[in-house]
Amino acid sequence: MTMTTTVLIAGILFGLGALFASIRLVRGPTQIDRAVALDVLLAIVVGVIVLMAAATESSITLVIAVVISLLGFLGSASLAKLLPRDRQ
Amino acid sequence: MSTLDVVASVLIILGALMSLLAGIAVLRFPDTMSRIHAATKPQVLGIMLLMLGLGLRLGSPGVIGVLVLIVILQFVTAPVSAHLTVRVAFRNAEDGLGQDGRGGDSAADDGPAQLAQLLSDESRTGDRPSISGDAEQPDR
Repeated sequence: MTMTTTVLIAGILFGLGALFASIRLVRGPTQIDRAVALDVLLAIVVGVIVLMAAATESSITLVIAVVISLLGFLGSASLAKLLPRDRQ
Repeated sequence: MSTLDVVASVLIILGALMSLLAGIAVLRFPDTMSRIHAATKPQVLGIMLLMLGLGLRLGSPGVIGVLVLIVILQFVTAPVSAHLTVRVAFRNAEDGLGQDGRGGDSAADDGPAQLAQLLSDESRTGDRPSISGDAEQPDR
């Protein structure tokens, strides 16, 4: 099992997860469901960045992963504060 | 290919599998709170597995410092943001938004009848409906 195979398998898994989360993002009945789907998408983006760093064996993209994980926390926390209640 | 690379590959694939499971769960689970419960798994466990795999693969001390930083950030922030989101979802469910009191995507969720029920909810007094989610109050 070479690294190319690993990147292929993990990329397919990430892509399917992102596809399902995107369907929930479009469909989700409440805004909170959409916020949750966005959280999952951000976790997948961090995973893809880590996968890219593993594929190219360079650590230069890891700073983006730090920034994205911080931004994900800020985004979901402010969404939880600012979402109007009881609206679909 | 050394044993270390095989272990790193397995860890990375396991982390990607966490993301796939979270995507399926977010799509398939019936109500908001169980979706949030499932969505927190790749944010902590999946990221941790991926960082372990990448640390085994790259292996220089500076990179491992950044990886540990990311894992610690996720450990601190993911439960907090999930808690904030769940609190909003729980209060909405407490107000009896959906017909089943859970805010799930039942067929009766949208439409003018539900809006009318929402508007009539505005005039109720201070006691909240119980946590078990019985949306049928007798005095309404």
